[in-house]
Amino acid sequence: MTQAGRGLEAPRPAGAPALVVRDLHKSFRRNEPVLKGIDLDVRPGELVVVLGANGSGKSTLLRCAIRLIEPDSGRVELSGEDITAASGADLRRLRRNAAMIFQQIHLVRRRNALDNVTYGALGRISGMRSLSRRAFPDDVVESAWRSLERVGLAEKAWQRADTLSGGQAQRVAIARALCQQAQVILADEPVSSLDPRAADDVLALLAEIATSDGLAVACVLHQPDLARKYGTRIVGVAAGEVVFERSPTSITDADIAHLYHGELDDG
Amino acid sequence: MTVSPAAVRQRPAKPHPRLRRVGWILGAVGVVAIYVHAWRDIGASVGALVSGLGNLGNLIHRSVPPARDVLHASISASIVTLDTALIGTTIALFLSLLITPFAASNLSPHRLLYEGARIVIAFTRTIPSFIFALYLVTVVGLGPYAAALAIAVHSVGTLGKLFAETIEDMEMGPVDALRASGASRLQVFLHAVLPGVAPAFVSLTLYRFDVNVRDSLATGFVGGGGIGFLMFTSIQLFQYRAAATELLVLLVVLLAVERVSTVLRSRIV
Repeated sequence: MTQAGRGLEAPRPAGAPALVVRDLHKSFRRNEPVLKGIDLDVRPGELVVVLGANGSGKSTLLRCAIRLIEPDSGRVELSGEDITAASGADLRRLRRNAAMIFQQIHLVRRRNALDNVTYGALGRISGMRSLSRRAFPDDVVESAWRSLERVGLAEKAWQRADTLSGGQAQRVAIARALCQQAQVILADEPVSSLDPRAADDVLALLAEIATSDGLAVACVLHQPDLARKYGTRIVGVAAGEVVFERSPTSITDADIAHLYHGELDDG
Repeated sequence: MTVSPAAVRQRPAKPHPRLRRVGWILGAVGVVAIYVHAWRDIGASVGALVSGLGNLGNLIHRSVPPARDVLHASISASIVTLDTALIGTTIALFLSLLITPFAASNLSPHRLLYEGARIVIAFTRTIPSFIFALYLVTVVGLGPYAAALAIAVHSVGTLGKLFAETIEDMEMGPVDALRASGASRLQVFLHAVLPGVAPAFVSLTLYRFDVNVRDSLATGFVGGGGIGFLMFTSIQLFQYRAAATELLVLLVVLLAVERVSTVLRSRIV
């Protein structure tokens, strides 16, 4: 892969990036690197779409960023703090700076929507009060309600998570991320299990959160159309490397074809 | 269907048919030898069973009618048996909940803790509760308390193993989601693991209670009190009419417990 397209027309809002990824490497098997020195910056107010084919390493990138998967080398900073060297309580504290949204949504099925949203705040509830959801502090419950209102699902607060539709469940997961009060949101294919309309709603919500709350959103996607529509910047990843950075208006069909051509090359 | 002769020639031959046949014959001879040894070892004989049928008739004759005067004692002893199983199972439930997070390979914080928890589970599960009771009666004295403790110790192993396997099979997504948000291990266990596995845990515990009622009969024989002890004593003293009453009460209690446990479990899952 060439790096010819890098740096061209990548609009960058002012301010220090909330997520900084430098030279990140990861291989699950010897001599089969998944990430080959990825760099990525996401600033507050941006929704950066990471676009790439299956197996290009984009999900691994997000998981390495909060060390759900351990990177082999490289550096990740969340809100200016290096997460790569942290361990134990320090790691948990730093993880609170980034909220993750998953393709499979991952709500606790047998709990209602409101409880699921409060779980986003577990990292900042200390001691005995965090042991039972009935003992959670009032400000946490209040922030959960506000997050749920923010995603437009306050009326579903008492409904069990396994009775929500896919789109509703993903919006509850976004509310959980908001309740975490992180500066960075990492969304791993958040709309791949949703129908087109729900997918559109979810991405519109993420874009709105980025601009009006000033959060730094990194979103892995498969859909070039949605990337063009909602991304403030589009980063193309192929075979573990960044192959281009574009604005949504300057990205071409050739750029996109280039990404998916890479998949064919890899077999 | 036409197959060319060339294709037939290319088909691979069945591997080592002769070796396999020899293996089968040796295996069959071995199994027969084990059965012959076992039959002789236990002194089994069809003749003894046939000539003993007269004794059986005598036994039944001496058991009817069941004695009425021990009915009240049988019922209260059955309640002691139920209490033994209840206390034993409940203690085991709490102890297993403490040990399970370490015994499930997908949650255990450290390899050594995992191995340690697995050793505790394997040890307590392998040894039957009445063996534990034999030792515990010398610790806390004869009676149902020793029996309940013995049942608790053994059930830590059985429940702990089933709980850990349930957690290992559970969906890990919510666990990852909470971990990713910076939740501690205890928080993840309480809010993501327990809600997912609680129905299975309740069902397994109810089933264990059912089994433990029967186990507490055996602990009764070795001095743990309850209906088991009563029956053991009656038979030792050749009071077969009393034993018959106790057996009937026991039958009713066991069927009732099994039924209730089954109904409750079907409501949960």
